[in-house]
Amino acid sequence: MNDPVYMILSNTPEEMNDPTLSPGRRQLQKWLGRRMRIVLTDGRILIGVFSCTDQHVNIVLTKCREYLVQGGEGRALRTVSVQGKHIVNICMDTTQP
Amino acid sequence: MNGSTLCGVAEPADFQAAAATAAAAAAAATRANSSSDRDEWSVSECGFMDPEVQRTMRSGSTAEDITLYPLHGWLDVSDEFLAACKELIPGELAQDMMFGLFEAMSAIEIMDPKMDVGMGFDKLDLPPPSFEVAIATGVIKLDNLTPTELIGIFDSLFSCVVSWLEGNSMDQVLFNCLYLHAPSKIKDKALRVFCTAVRNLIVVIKSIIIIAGVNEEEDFQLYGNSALLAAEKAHPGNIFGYLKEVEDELVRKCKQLTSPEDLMSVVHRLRFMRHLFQVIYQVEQMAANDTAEDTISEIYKNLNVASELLPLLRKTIDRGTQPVEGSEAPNPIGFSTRIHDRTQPPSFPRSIKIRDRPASFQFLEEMISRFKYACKVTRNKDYFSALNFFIEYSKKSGQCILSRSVLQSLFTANLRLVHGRMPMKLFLRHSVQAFNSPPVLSPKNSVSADPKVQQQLENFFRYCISLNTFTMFIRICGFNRARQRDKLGRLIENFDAIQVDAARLDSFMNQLANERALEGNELHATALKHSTHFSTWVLYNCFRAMLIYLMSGFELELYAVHEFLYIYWYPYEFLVGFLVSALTRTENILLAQEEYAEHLSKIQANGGTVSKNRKAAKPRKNKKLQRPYRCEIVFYHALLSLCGGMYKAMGALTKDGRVRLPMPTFDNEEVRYNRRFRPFGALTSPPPVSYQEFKSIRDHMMLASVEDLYAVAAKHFDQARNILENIQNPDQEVLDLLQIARTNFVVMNVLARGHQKDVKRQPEFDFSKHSYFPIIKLK
Repeated sequence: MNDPVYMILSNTPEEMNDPTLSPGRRQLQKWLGRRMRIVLTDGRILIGVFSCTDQHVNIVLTKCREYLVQGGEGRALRTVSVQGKHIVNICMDTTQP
Repeated sequence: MNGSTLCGVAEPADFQAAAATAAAAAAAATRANSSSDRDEWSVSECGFMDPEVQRTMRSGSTAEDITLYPLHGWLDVSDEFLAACKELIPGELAQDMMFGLFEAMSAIEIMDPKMDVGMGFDKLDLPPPSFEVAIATGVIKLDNLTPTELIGIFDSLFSCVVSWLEGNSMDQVLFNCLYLHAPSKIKDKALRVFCTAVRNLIVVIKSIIIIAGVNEEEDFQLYGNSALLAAEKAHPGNIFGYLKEVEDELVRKCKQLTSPEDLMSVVHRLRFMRHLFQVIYQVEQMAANDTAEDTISEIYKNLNVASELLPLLRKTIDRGTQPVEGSEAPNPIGFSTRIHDRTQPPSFPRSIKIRDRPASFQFLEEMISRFKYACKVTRNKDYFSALNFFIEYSKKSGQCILSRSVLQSLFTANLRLVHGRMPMKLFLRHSVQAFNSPPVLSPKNSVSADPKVQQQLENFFRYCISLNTFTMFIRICGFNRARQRDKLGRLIENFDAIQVDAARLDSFMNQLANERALEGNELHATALKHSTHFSTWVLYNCFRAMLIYLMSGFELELYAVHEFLYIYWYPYEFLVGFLVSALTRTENILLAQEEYAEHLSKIQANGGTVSKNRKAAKPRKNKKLQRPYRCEIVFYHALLSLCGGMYKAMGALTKDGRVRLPMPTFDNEEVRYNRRFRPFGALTSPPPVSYQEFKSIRDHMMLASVEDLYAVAAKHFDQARNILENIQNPDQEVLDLLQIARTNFVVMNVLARGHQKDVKRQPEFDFSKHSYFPIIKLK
């Protein structure tokens, strides 16, 4: 875990609840694999499974669908990557933070 | 422990059962999720870590899951998320355990205009109009189109067809034209017929490309919304009749007009379409069934008319309506640009740009001249010349999928016409005869009727066919340049089996000849007199495949500069030499046979004396027939010198410290070497050359001083120059090679004299003149 070039934070059971991890990392671990809703700068909405992110808030969603309007007809995109600079809003599908 | 872990432990039986079938797995996971568990990772504890199972779980269930979202309600986490990400260090990834590089490969980059078709949609935008909507709202006209409008639509449709042939999806570049959706509803006759023709053109072109089978996914999109194509009925065979009819009508109309120029331009476009369609249709018909031999000449005639019409079309582009600046539609009327964007599969080449009109006509013009060139394939009646033709064609016209497919169609159709029902076997038999004329294949030969001999020959050629090696070689030349290398690598391995069989056949013939000689049957023995005809033929073709394989690496820019040395060494030391000797041997056999035949006929005609007339006539005739492979041999000699020059030059540059070498810890030259020559390892002949052998040869060469090495390289280039200069009627390739040889000769001489001795910079290798040989440039 000390190699800064290739460091991966994952949500495998072995790695979960590692008290040495920073709080933000533990939060990300919990969010991984959950449904996420991203609003883009152009107003489109992407909903998919949160699969990967990095320092620059580049996000990869799998099983993603694109909606032009909330509740409208979606279009399947499968895997997408979104650069942080295009993201306006991020929501998680959960009742508690 | 949190709730999710508990849940994972509590329900293992459920998951275990699901593990039995991958399909059920996804369902089980969803069920578990929807009951109480929110954290998917608990799956792993129950044996779902197999990536295949994960992939199935993840991929199959795109639709049914997502529409259910959100299950609990969205919670805005933007700020927490941003803050959490800030804690990550550069390069660190937070990654779901079921997400890996494989998934990342197919990710669509949102907001990248090349990948993201969803970009730029506004929620206030109306959906793109369909054909019906467009009519209802009066966006498109079905009748009373002006000639200007017609020209605009026709020209834009030509650019659409061209864009489709360049590998775009037909949904995006053809069915964005609303007129193509339902041509029968168009009232304007010219437009209706033209649109029907385009639709049929699509069908016929698709069929040609499918039958030829030399397409790859990057060349051509076979799949499209065929439902749109199916609706209308029109037999392709009737199309040119319709086109002719409209043309005639319009021509009559023109005669009544005072300024018929615009309408005449419409007529020219219809006429061009008619001839183009006819060509394509005839090519397709040739592939499907036997037709008369004059089809080719008819195709050629149509091509000529079409190419004469093209300048007229190009001159009148500005008579039509032009695309609106900034709009994606190729024409202001008739197009609904994004009509199919949102129905495309997500992993599609998404954002497309339709060619502009002048460039499209340029493409059509080039395509027609490529078709004309392809028609010449019918002149090649044997394998040797056909293969040469295909290799040349690929170099010159390899970029256009339709041109390549047309060539394949014409060739196979022609084979059938020339050689009857079993084309390939007879063709190969005929080809060996044409190549080096083994006596047994001569119909006059007294032993050719011998059933044993017949059987052996039959077996050999049947074997050639069943292994498919020769047919495959020609087909491979039909693929795009980048794909050929990989396929050639596999082809080369196939040659070994045929070589073995050819050698067996050769020795059988020799043995038979000896037997007959012992029996005292002199006539049969001489008739069977056989050298290594069949092996030479097979080997020659194998060498060619090997040479193309090796050199294509330069064209595809696969080799690093420090690898050039052994890549050029191999053809210099072996391959090109082998080719020269195979051809020389063949030529000698042919000449000897000719002499012998002449000798025999002289004996028969004149009873052993030679008359004066004959003596005068003989040398001239002889000279003409002499050296059938002279051109090839001379060319290979030039290649040999060029390869030698490059090999020595690389040796000198390396020794001089001017070649950047990889760091020793990251490099293993032996591994590189073996990898570069891997396909050759499967062959018995030529025997593979081990890295150790190469190394000792190179070490020996490198003993000389740097100056001497430069001087030797210069000498090789000078030799190449000499040979190339003496070629009569040189083509562009020879001229280019000549320039390379000249320049490199000068550079080597300069270096030999110690120029830039202290600056050890790597020279530039400029492959712009020729894809196999660079001009060495000192910086």
